[in-house]
Amino acid sequence: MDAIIQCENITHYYGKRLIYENLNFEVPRGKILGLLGKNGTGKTTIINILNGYLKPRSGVCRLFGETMERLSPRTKAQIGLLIEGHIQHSYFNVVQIEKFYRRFFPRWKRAAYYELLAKLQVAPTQKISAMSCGQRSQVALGLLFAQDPELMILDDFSMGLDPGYRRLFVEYLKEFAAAEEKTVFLTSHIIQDMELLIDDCIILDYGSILLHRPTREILDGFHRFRFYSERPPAAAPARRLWNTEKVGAAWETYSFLSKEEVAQELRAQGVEPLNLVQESLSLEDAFIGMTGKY
Amino acid sequence: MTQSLFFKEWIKTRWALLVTLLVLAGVIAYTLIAMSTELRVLGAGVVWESLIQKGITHFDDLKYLYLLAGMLLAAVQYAPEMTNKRLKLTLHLPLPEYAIILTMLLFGLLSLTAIFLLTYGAVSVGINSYYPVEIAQWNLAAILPWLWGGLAAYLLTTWICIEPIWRQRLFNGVLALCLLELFYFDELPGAYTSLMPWLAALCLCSIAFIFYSVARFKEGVS
Repeated sequence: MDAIIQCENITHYYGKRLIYENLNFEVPRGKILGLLGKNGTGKTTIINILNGYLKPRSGVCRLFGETMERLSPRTKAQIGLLIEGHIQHSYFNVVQIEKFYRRFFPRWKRAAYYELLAKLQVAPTQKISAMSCGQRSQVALGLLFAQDPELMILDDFSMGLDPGYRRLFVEYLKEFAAAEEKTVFLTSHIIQDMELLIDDCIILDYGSILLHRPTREILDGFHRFRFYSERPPAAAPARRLWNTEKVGAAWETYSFLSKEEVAQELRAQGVEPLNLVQESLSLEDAFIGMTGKY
Repeated sequence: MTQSLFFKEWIKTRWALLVTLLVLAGVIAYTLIAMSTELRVLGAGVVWESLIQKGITHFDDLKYLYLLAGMLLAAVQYAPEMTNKRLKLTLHLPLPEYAIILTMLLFGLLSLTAIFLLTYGAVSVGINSYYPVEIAQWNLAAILPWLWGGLAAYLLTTWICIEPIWRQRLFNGVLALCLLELFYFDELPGAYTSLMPWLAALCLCSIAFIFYSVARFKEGVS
């Protein structure tokens, strides 16, 4: 499987604040990869680095094998870019913006744009600047589909959208990616949307990648465990029990281990877990389990 | 693709270009009417004396209008690109980045030059119908550096707009004002004749400043 996105040893600071150190990941062709992380973990930063709009302190990213600072016009034509907030050239109206973009892309699908636009109650002469956030998102999405890129990079695609528009966005994206083995790299604050969409998941922590795994593996293998105990557990070895904390009278911990292995782990810490219960998690719960609530 | 980029720039700037043209045309028409009235009321002898003895020219009202025209066009063309960092979308178009920037600049320079030449032509026709060639050329020579000043103001304002850091923008603004001052230090017609190549070179240098700020934008300097 060839890698469409490669990031090697990316280290970046804002002033003295470390954002990442030696960040490495790849996105293979045909995959939808979601980047999750709390505010300030550098999701938009990595998208800016990928597109060549931010020079990292060190390291290199490649898109279709080309380094991010010197993307050829041919490669740029293969990349659909959505900027945070569905930013577009808002001085155009909906007809003008299609007319503007279509000359740049040889595979332009005019019908795809107007199909999405038909769902909006907008006049052809309505300026994009006079549209709601949801309407602007549909214009941006319509333009991306019309471009028919091999790779879509979407920064916080769900920002400002109501549930209906979010669902529409997700459904179109899923269909788009599945139909022709397209690759999608996206971030979103709303993790429940990601669950419906992404094949692989990168969870960013402050300074590094916490986890990079297939979403199904996280949903099937990562669980919350509730138990009662008189004594607090000692600190567990990293990546065996995650974010163990007391919630009300019970204790909670998260782990990829089986129920028996968790019980063993707790006993090794000098705790006898009473009424140990294993619970399945949504992606959002799993994210909180890994990164903590605060 | 060039046509498409021109279309984008036209949509952004058409009203500003129209306003610029109307204001300049209005000021020229007013100046020509005032000149005609002056000749009728004061008599040709008095007017001629002030023109030749005191070196007075008729079109001083245009002096800073060309400068403002350049600044206005740059602002309406590039401020929307920098709002929400929309320039990222523009630079992401499948063309070399230098070609995108040069095409945008070319649009601005061609639009301004067209307006400037049109108004310069109107001044030339108007003044030639009242005065002999020598005095007409005297007046036209006085306007020429202001036209260059308008083009330089366009390029330097573009540089200020595209610069990603506010502090650096202020520095660029001060430097731009100093450079623009060069186009206005002497009002005597013909004073700039030997300096014209240098003024043109200054305009060309301003393009290099713009590419420096584009490079800073690309690096994500903050």
